[in-house]
Amino acid sequence: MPYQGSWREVVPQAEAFRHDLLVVPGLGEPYLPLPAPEAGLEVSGDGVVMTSLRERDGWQELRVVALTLDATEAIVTGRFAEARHADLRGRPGDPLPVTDGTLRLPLGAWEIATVQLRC
Amino acid sequence: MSTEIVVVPHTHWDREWYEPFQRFRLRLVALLDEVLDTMEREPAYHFTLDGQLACVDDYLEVRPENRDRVAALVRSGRLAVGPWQILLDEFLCSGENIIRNLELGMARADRLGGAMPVGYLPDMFGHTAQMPQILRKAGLTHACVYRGVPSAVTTDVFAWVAPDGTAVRTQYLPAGGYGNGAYLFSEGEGLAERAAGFVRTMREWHGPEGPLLAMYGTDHSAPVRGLPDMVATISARMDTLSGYIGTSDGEVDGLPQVHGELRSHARANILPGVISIRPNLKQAMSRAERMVERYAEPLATLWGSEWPGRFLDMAWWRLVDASGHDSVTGCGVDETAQQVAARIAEAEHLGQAVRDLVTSRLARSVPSDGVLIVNPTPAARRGVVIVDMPGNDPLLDPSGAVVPVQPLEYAPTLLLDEEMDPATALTFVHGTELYGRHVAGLAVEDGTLTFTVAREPSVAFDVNDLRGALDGVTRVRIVAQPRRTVAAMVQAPPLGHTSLRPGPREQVHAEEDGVERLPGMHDPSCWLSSDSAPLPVRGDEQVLDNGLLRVTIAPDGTLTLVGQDGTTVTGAARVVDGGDVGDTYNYAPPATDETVSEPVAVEAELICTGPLTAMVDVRRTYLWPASGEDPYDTPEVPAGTRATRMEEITVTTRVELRAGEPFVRLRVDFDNRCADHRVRLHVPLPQPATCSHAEGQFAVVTRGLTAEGGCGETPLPTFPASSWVAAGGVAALLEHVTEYELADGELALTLLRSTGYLSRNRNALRPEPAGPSCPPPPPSRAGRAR
Repeated sequence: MPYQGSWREVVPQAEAFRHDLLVVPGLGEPYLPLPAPEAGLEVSGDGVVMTSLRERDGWQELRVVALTLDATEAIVTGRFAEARHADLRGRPGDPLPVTDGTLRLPLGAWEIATVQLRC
Repeated sequence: MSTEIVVVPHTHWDREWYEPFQRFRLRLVALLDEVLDTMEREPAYHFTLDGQLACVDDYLEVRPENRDRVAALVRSGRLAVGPWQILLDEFLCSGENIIRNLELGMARADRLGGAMPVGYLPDMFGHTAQMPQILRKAGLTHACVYRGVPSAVTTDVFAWVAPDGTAVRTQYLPAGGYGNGAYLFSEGEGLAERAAGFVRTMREWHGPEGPLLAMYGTDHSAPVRGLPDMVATISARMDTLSGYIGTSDGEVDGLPQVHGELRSHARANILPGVISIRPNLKQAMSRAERMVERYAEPLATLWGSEWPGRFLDMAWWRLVDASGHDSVTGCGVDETAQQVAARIAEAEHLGQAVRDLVTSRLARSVPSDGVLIVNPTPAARRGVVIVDMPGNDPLLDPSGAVVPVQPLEYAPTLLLDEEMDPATALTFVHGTELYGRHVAGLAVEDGTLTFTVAREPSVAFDVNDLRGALDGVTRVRIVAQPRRTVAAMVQAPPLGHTSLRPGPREQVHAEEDGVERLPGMHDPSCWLSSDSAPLPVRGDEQVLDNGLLRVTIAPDGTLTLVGQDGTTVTGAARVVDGGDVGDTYNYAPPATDETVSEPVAVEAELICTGPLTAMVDVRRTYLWPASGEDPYDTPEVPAGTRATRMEEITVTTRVELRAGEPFVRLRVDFDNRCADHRVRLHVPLPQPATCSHAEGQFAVVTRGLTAEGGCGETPLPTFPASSWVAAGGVAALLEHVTEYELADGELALTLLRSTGYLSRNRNALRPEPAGPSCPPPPPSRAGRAR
């Protein structure tokens, strides 16, 4: 992949290259209409990369890393109303503010952050 | 001057290496039987169990009755276990795998009385940049390392600083590593002199005050009997590693700082050849990690009904086990590599099973003639998918809009046409199932029984109803409903799903201008439905172009890439074969090397032309030396030249460009029939570069063109990259951890190293053996390479 400027251009392309969209044959009755598309969880932010999402003790545990030389912000949007910090062993920390299903999480450069989310 | 020595008895337990796991475990059980007996008999005895819970698990699987004995010793503080589940290779697994390893080890150690609060990393072949942050965020304020420490470190303690600024107090094991005190008690005579010599050596690193750490143990070793008395003789004391290190609170102020990854060759070998040996293990590991991390867990979290925790635990357990520093590294015997491969495969299968459990639940809402599309990325994605669909009708998304498609392949429809007794054919039918499909219709005409089969059952069918209607039938045909494989451009929501199905052609095109379209033909109006839709890709045998990237295939099979901004890469994907008479640990060229980069024949075959994907297979045929030329007729002495006998090897490179992607996809495939060589893919840089940037383990590491040497091992500037490496205006996106080197204005990616030995006694780039000299059998020297 040719690029001009920063290696930061490469990050989203590697995400797409390494994670193919998944195709699954339909298993429903033939008369069914196609269901409406649904979003799960959206994670955005300059240089923010999701590395893990799993369930832990009734919470959704999300881990991101800031692949950035400067501080950035992870914006997490989904069907959740509560959020809190956690350490790498999943031990919960301080609560985080959630507004209309969106968590805005400040991240330092190269910070690995784990948060837990709940409806 | 204090002369106190703290003796830390331990063993370094390579769980599988030059012998497979079970054979090493037999020795482990005997060793720990003895350690437990000794510790119970001698209250002053301490033991550090190599920082990895795997030793405990492997022991207790054989001696479950000893669990309480182990736990009692852990609770007493005399037996240190954990914090890792296994001592990993930090560069050959994902960052997430590192975290799960620590999480698993610490949780299991807690159940025995608590983990050793030290990030013990005694034998890893270098250390990743973010390890200090990982340790701190798991609650550990200390690390302990041996390999990879730069020459700038002149003390036995330093502050190791991650890219985010997190620091951990790091105990360095100089002058002998994790066996710096192994010789102290090896013989009865001269103990005092040896202790005095030890103190002199270690004071150089530690300074005049404070106790000195003597790691008493080495690979697979058991402590000698009577150790407490000998320790007392030299006025030393015995402790665990955490007992020694724990006298400090983890404060890093005032300590010399070392930033980022530790991959210096200054103080110890880091054995960089493990990054590129046995690439099948590296490919499988990355694939399995992605399956579990990025498909199974996230999809089960968001879209599953019940958390399949046990399946995922089992998957992680296998991935963590496989990350062992003599496991995924590939520096063991073939038996070990086979076990590691099987373990990784099971992890991937477990991930697939969880993925399928979740997606089949979602797919039950999608009609059987349609497909569900799931996006594993936490951002909206537009991309090409390959789908298998019945019929030739256009594909529609849930809004009813026509989706751009490109037919790739039509499945055969005639499955059987033979003269046969129809009673025999009826035995092929099981319920409605026939030839892996379902009976969708049947007809008897002119002495021929014809079944029509489809993916889904659509008619009530009982084979017994047919038996009376077969008089005169002498021929049986089975015909499948038409199906085609198409590329489709879809838009999918973040970590969500959408779907497609065929729509009636007459309905879709009812309002169009009456232009006749062949079945499956791309409808150009689809591209015009959105201003942001990507341009189509067009390709022939020489040029692929999607508006973002133009790929030109040169007569020699190399590629010229021109990006939208004009950045141009010329001569990309050149394949270079050179000699390698090293071993699994270290590449070593023969004294007189010969490289081959010019093919003797090149041909290009157009596979498809677009508009969603364009592909060309470039087949380059080379004459590669069959092996090293053995001057002494013994493989023990590395070959000095390459053989004059040549093998004709055809390297097929599938060059694919998809609509909307600013990168070209390459798949390189060849049947390796040569030994003692290294094959690399070269990509010239568009601009000069003095450094590379490589992603891996939560970091992007910037590296120069050289590496620091000093210990004896030649400091080759070959490095690992996990998901991508970039330099000078070109990036290689990677499916698995790959070795790269930036040299002569080119980025070289190692595809394969085919060497003959686990470790050679004589390796031109490493003065001492790295392990036993085991020549592997032929299968590990050859095979299909992708």
